[in-house]
Amino acid sequence: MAKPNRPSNVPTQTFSLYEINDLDRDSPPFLPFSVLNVNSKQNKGKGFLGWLKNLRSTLSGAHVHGIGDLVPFSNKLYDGSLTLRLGITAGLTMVIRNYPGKGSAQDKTHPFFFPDRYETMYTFYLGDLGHISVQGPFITFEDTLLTVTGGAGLFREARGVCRLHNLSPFKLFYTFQLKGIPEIPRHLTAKVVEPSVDVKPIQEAANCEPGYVLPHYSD
Amino acid sequence: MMALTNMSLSLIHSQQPTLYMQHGLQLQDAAGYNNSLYTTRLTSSSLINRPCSAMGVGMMMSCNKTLTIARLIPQSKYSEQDHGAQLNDMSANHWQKKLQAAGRSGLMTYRQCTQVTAARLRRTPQVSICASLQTNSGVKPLVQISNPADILLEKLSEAEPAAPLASNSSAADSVTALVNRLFLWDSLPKLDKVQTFSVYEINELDRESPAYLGFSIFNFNKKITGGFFGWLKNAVNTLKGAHGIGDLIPFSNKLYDGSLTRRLGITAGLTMVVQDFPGQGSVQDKSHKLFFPDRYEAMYTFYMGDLGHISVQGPFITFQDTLLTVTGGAGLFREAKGVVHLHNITPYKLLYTFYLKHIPEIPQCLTAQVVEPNEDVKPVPNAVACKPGSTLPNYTE
Repeated sequence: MAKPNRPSNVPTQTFSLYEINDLDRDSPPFLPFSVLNVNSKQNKGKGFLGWLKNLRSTLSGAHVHGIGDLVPFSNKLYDGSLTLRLGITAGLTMVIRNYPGKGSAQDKTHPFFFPDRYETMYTFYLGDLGHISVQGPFITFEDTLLTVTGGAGLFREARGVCRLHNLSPFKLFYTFQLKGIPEIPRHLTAKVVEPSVDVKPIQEAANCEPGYVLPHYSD
Repeated sequence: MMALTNMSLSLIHSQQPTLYMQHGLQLQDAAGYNNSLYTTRLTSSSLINRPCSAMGVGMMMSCNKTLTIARLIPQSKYSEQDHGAQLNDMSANHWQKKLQAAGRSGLMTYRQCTQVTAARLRRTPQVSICASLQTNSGVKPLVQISNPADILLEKLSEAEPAAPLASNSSAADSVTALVNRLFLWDSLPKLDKVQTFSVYEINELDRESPAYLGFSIFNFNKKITGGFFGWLKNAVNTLKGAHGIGDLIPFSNKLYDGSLTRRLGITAGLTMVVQDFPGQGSVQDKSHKLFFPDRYEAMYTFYMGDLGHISVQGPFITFQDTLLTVTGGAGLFREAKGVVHLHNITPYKLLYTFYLKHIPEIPQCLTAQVVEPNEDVKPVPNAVACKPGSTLPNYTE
């Protein structure tokens, strides 16, 4: 039986990306459907009026996150040195559980920080290089490891993991470790800027000026 | 696909009519397999044709209980060990010995003569030929070419149909039957080469699909002016077509093979709007009432009955072709790696071309000649009506 040859010592390639939400893509729409969850403890046993009350709190923004909340999103993608606009991310995260009280002091200063665990399925679009799809956990107060489910273009046979590091609710730092792809181009291997809350892309990349974007970057 | 050349058969009449099939049948298929038919001796007065067995060895039994075996030994460049050379030399003698061992009457049971071939089938991709001969009306070749995937598919279609999803059968077996059938594909050898096939996805508007959930109206990050009435107006516009991120569109459509003659199953999954691009799209696109120039992120699965299923994820742009990544599969597609090319024909008709590695050789039902995509293509009525013969065995519904 012809089993595919899986060499074990293939070098793993590593590169980093920044995902930044500039709040100009109408993202993320927080869809508070946990209010419709008949199994939810919040909704159980409180009857119709209790549900109405919960609905009111949802619409007014005081909604406590619970399983059923969906958050489709799409943010901008920059390279590790924050000098090149690569493209976008696009996908879905769904709240799994809320962990009240978790998160560092710095996390909590941010008005949009919510200590949740999400399950995410999304794709990184890198223009002419192709795209990479990932799936896995996203925890707002911790680093997580996502699995790379596949890709296209340069990343066609990519297999590996992606480490997600939260800097703020609107800035994330990813480190990919991939096997099965050709040698990554120099666009992705520039010197990585140390991740911190204040990092931001250079002005030319943010404005998508030619020379500071990937060819046919996704938008 | 198979070019039949150079077949010569001679019929020698004697007291006991004996037919020799000569060593001259050369077949070469698209993949470049070189196959030769080896001679065997058969005695017959009249032959009853027996169709190709599930083990891929054709046999003919005569009323005089004489057996003929016609078998091709491929010299496949993809087999790990080169059985070809060995088999070539051994085979002619081997089968003659078998026949002799079976006695003068030449009776050999199906089981006996396939024991050896079964072992060989498992090791290398085989091509089998079943030739039907009729002494009275002359030679009439009937070739049925099959690879291991075809053989398994035939076996599955002959087996008991799997229990339908909604059945209330109490037998524990029926609950897992459909899943267990998918594990049968694991015994087939997987090829490293990239294999291609096409399928058509067609929305016939009878599955209540797609379910357009316009949740972008709940997007508080969307800048909406005008207070509550502004929000209402936005909601109305969304439903009219101003899509925004947050809109979810679960969907499920029907799947047909590339030649639109066979119903394969369904697609099922979710697309979510990422962005809308007002003004994009060709004139022909815009002539459709339900064309919206959007970019979606899609995660869905193609269900193909007993073949298994294959999951994809990636971009879906209504006014452009896109490439989605194959995230995984089951059954035939268990270790599939590759991409899918999505081509929009109309908002309700899509053509997919899969480029997959690490799957067994794909069965013939997927490799028929692909119909050129245009607006008016539609599946043959038998396939739409899901008549047996125009569907995959246990096609998904």
